[in-house]
Amino acid sequence: MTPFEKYLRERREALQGPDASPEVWDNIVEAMSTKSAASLRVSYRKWLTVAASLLLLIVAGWYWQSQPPLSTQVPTALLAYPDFEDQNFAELLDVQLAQIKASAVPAEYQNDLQQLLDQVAYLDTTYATQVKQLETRYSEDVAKQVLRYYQTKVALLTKIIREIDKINRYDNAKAKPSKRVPLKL
Amino acid sequence: MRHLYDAFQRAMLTTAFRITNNRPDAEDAVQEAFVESFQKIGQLRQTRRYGGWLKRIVINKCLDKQRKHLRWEAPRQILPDTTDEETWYVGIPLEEIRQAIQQLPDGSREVLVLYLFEDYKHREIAEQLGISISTSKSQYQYALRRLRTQLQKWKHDAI
Repeated sequence: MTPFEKYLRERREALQGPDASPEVWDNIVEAMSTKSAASLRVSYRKWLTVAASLLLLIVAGWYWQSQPPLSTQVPTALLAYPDFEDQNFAELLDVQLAQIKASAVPAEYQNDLQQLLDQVAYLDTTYATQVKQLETRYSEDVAKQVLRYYQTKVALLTKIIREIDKINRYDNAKAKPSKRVPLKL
Repeated sequence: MRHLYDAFQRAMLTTAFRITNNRPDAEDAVQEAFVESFQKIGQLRQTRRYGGWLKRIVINKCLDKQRKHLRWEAPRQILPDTTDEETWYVGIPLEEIRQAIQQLPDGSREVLVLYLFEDYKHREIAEQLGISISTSKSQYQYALRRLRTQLQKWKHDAI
């Protein structure tokens, strides 16, 4: 390597050009939010499919359970069901619901998220029927379904909270964040 | 992400501009490279290597843009050296050197930038640009000689 090549190599940092124009960052943010929105849209469709399938399973289960029993069972208190007491579902759900209630999302995502929350709310009607059923006649299967209801609801709300967080993070990174609206519970 | 952009944008734009010699193309390449890096950042095992990884993406984007209209100049057109002095470049402002590099023909400028500033080997340059290793070497020597001729002329005129 000649002295001139060494001289150039040693000064490559000093030969730096100017900063990129501000539009470059704006375009990056825009490209990221467009791609994220596209992936979120796919994710919502997937979510709606999963939620609808779960709902169908629960409704089918409830229908099956509401048919006359083939044999009589010994009534037992619902809370005595193993695994139920340990998991503190009610408290966890309270925290999650309060978190969703306190959040606000960009207006364009309100419908998608609201649809998911409506599906979750529909689970509650099935739950109420199952609990009523348990109070009159205990069934191990129905108790299992109630447990499953809690697990499903916690999982769905956890994912909805994550989606809200993700949407808001992408929106905050935009040059002009969207108007935020609350979600109804 | 903004802090990564702030930390690297200038160096990336410099690299991109040296290769493309065209600010809009350079900014496009930098923008596309940052978007790609942010989307694939999870694949990066060591975050301290982000800068090097990003620079590779920037260079690839630039070369993709350049390949379509890359212009090569035959090395034989060069003028002979006018001095044997080893330190002939002393006293020439860096800005003149930067401009002289920009005025090199596309092909030889890209080889010079990749070899001298980005530490690519001639084998890698040959692969990236679709040329032979000997062409890469001859274009590099041609770029150096052409720079020397041009800068010596500047120095002569300045005196």
